[in-house]
Amino acid sequence: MNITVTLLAQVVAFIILIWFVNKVLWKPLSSMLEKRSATIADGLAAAEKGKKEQELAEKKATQVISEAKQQAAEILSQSQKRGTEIVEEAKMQARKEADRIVAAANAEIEQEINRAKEHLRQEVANVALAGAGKILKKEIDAKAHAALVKDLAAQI
Amino acid sequence: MAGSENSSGGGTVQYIQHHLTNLCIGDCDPVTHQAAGFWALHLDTVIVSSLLALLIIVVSWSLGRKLQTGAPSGFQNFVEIIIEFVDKSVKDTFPGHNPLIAPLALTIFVWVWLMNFMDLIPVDLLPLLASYVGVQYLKVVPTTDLNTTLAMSLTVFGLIVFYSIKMKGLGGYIKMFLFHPFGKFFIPVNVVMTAIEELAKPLSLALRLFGNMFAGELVFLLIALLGGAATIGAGLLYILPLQVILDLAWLIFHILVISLQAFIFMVLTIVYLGMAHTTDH
Amino acid sequence: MGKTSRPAGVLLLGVGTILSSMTISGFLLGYVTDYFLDTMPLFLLGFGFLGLLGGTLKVYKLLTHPDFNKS
Repeated sequence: MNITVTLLAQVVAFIILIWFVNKVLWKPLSSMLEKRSATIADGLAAAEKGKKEQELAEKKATQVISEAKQQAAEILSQSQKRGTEIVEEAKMQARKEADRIVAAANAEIEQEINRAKEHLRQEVANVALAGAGKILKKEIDAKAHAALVKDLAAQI
Repeated sequence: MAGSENSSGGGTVQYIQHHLTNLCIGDCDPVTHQAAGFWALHLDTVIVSSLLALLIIVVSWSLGRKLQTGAPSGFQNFVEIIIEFVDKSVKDTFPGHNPLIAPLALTIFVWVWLMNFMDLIPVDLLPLLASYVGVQYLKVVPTTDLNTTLAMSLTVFGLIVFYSIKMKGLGGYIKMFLFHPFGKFFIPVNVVMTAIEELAKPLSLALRLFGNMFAGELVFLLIALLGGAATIGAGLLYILPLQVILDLAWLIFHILVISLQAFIFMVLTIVYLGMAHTTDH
Repeated sequence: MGKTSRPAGVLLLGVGTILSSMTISGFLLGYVTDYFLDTMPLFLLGFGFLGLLGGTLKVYKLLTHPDFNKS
């Protein structure tokens, strides 16, 4: 075989070429590719982020709407309740008033009846006394037996 | 410089021999024009490979100055495909991380491919052109010169040794020599065996590429001879189309071969360097 | 051989030249040793044989244990 100094020349050429390719081609191109993939990844991430944010906003909007609806319903129900309450209260008051009036009337009637009864009793006592006086004309002194008559009248 | 045996119309053997003779300067045999000693320079090998290297450098330099970070177009896309292919090969077969491996692999792949590609240029074209300017001998394909392939594989070998020692430590490297194939009772045999094994790596790399390219070149020469013989003989009408068909077929097949050989050289380099980086072995 | 791990699978690319290149490198190493020790055919033959043996062994190893190179 003819191994000659060509070998050394080729080794030198090879090493120089490796150095050049590394410096001129590989490093700029691989860094460029890295940059590009980074850009792509960034873009994808941004898109993903935007999507997520939109989703979040939508979710929030629906939440707000539902909250508002709920609040409105609450307010409505509360006002309804308050209305019925007021009505109920008014009814109650009216009933109470009526009761009070009835009670007062009843009390008056009772009083009237009592008074009439008292009066009647007095009358009866008087009539009885008069009757008894007429019967026992001489024997019974009205003044002497006044306490007895009064007692009798109270018993009736 | 020119011998008398390379005149036109010479015999078949002479034709082939002439095509396989390097343009030698320095310590050369004046008659056969072969290298006679170590101090002979194969000028054609050096010039062609250097021109191809220069081509790589110029193209990559001009490309590197106007890189587009956005969507690449045309040639940059093509280069990116090659680079990503090389990068993928490195990532698949190389354990660990070394920033030198990928550019080394890329250099090997592209340079070897380009040098192999010189094989596809019609075998008589460049020597004929050279003979017009007074250069009598020209072997166009640098990879058919064992010096080129051996130079690359020895550089790789140097890197293998360097990284083996760097990764395993000098002690680990020596230990690999002492105990590797047969355990500790065969230390002398182990040393020789491991040395042979390590030496076989660059040798197989160089010889495979050289052998394939040399054989391919030889086939091209033989096909070319067919036409050359036909000009003398009578069967020109049959042989000339046959030659064209054969040449085309071998050309197409050879595109595959040169790509495959460049790929194999690259991948085995990566694998050998990867083996140098792993501590167990 | 479809299930080989990738590095070993790639190493199979070189299986064809392992035997010859190891034999050659054995002879080469033997030649150099002989050249320096002045024992001409001794180490040439011995190392050549070792190279042949090692090559055979390595090919055998590579073909029977595809993922031996797995790290």
